[in-house]
Amino acid sequence: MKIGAAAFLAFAVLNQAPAHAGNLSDIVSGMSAADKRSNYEGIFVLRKSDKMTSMHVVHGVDDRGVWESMEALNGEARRIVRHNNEVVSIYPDRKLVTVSKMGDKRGLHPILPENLDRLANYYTINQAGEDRIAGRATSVLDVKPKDAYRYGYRYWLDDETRVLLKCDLLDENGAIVEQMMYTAFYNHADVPPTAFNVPELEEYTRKTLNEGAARQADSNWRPGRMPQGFMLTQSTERSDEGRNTLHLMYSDGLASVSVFIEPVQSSTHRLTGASNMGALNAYGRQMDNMQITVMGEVPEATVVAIAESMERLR
Amino acid sequence: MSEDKEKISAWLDDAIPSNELDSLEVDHHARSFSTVARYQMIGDALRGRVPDASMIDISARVSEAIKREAEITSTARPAAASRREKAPLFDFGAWLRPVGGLAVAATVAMVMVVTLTDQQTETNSPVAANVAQQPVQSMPVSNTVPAYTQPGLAVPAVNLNTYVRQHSEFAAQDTIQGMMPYARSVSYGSENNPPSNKAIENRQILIIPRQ
Repeated sequence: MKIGAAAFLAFAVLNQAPAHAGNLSDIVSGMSAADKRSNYEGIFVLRKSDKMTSMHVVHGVDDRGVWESMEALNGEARRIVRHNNEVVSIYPDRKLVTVSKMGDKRGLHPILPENLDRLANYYTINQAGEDRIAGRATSVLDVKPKDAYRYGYRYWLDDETRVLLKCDLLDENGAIVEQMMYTAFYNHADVPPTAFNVPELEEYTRKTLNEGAARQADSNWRPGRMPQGFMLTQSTERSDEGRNTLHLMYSDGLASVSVFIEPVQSSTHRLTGASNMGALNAYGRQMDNMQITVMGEVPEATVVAIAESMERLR
Repeated sequence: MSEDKEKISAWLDDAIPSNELDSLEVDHHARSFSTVARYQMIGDALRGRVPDASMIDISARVSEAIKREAEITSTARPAAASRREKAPLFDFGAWLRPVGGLAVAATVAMVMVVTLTDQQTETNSPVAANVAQQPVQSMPVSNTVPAYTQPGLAVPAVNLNTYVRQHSEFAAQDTIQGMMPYARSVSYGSENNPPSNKAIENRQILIIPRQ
């Protein structure tokens, strides 16, 4: 019965889309799939609070998966090259290149489009007309949360590729807390493989540190209270110099919240109380000699509520 | 702390203006948030502002509310008695105590009303049922959240870069927003406090220049 009600609700929401702009479900699904099928290049700006960052991005797909290069154009020189779940970070001024391997960790829950109907339970999704971004025609989606425990979103999706060309993140009062917008965007048939070269790899020597790879872990920690719709998507443990850090990741399909738990005595992240960086809110506390840190692009109330309710099953 | 609770309670009952809360000594380690949440719930129930939402594990909430109120009354009394000696002009504690029993009843009543008005929200989707974890008490869908922080609180600087990076990389896998989490990760380097070399080196694999 409940499944039927949810399906009806999703159907009702999705059918609010004007016919000329395409089916809303197709648009949202296309946004999810664009990452896995599009070749493009562009420059976008990211604004968080009063800070702006400009980046050059190249995105490509081949038979080995998804490639992405993202280079910051202001501030300290830095570049990220991502190949599927491997992220290479390059800091030229420091002559540092780091590689972070996430391994093949599939989420515990399918994301869109398989789970699209779930979103209608927690967000109201409407088409909000059309607009022009970076010289291209876009469809605008307005995604409003149904409670105060998650942010709202406004998406501008390229009509041709469904790539996200502009994104506003809205707080519980409707104020913009983060904005991303392309100022130039070029859709390519193919992206030259050289776009993802990391010449620094030729000059530098690789050294493996002691930090252990993240591995799936069963946890006896859980939040006593959790905003509806957030489900556990990752549960991993990482060992670093004898210190084990548990990382629980919860997501509702749009927003993600991380819970980090590690022994207080060895923790280098002893946050007590609330902190934030742009749209990212964090809250830390100590419990049973463990440091609990909760963070995510969600309202402060959400990270506080989750952190304060964390409990260890005996 | 006891005085704080009384101020919170008075504020929720519109008895004092919100700016008076500036004098609160909010305890970030533990109780302030849960205290405000509890008083907000009680206040809403007393004023009939019951959210139209679903809750889970109602019996647990009822017993928890009763247990917590018992703790409030038992811990508040010694502090109130002590304060009476110092501040005889107005005793919030004496005003609060008779409300305690009523508050418990009101909380229970609210939970019952919520049960009756439960019209919505499926929380145990087939997907959720696949997760091997203990049931979690979902928070009600509500457009109001309790106030719990004070402006200007001093938060010590803590380097969270490692956490932020791990959060961003995992978030990119579990949401539909593609590169946005990665873009955030890159942009954090342009903040006022860019990650230190030490923070960067705390990664799984480090590549360093040849000697």
